[in-house]
Amino acid sequence: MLVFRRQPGESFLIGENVEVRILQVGRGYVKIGVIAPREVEIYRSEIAGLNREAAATDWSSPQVTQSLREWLDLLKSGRG
Amino acid sequence: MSLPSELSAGSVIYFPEGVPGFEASRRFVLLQHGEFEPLLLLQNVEDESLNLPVIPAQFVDPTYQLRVEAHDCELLGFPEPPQLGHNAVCLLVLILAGPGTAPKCNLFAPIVINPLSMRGKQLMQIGSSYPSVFPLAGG
Repeated sequence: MLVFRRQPGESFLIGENVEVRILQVGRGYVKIGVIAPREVEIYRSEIAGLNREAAATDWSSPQVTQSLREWLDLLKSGRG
Repeated sequence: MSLPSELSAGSVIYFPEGVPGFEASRRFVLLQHGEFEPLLLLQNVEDESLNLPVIPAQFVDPTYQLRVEAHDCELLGFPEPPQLGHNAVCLLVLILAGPGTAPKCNLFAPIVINPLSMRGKQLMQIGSSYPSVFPLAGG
């Protein structure tokens, strides 16, 4: 992993077309701006992780099916 | 509810950019999950072991506000921003795995399908307050 320091207002390039700029650093967060061509899809990495979690559903798990059934029952009864 | 009425069973939905986490997977079908209706499975055509459990957004939040940017309208073949429940199918990914196994869904990044073009994409709702992990009641 490449590690380097940047100050707010500074940026770096990924390849020729993607620029990442540090906009603001606060308590416990960093605000980042990305300038990239439209065809470069940018998304928070946790979205891919959540999709992988969803795809890893263990349908044989009684815990999974029971909690799902409980929620759907609530949903259908109009209380969910 | 069964399959969204706009979609016919077994029709292949093309995701030009894949799905985050499965970028190489482009072709999916929507299947009913009989036991857990209205839950649906978005199943990859090439790899049937790849299934994403999803649920129409209206079931989780009847007032769900979908925003589709112009370039995504173009990608999905919407001549203008779509209306949820009219000309767009909006599905939320259900996360049923992991610690605790209480059901959660991703409100921040719904999977949007244009039933006319049969194209789909998971769209980030940038600028919204929708969380990517939303615990569902009863979990």
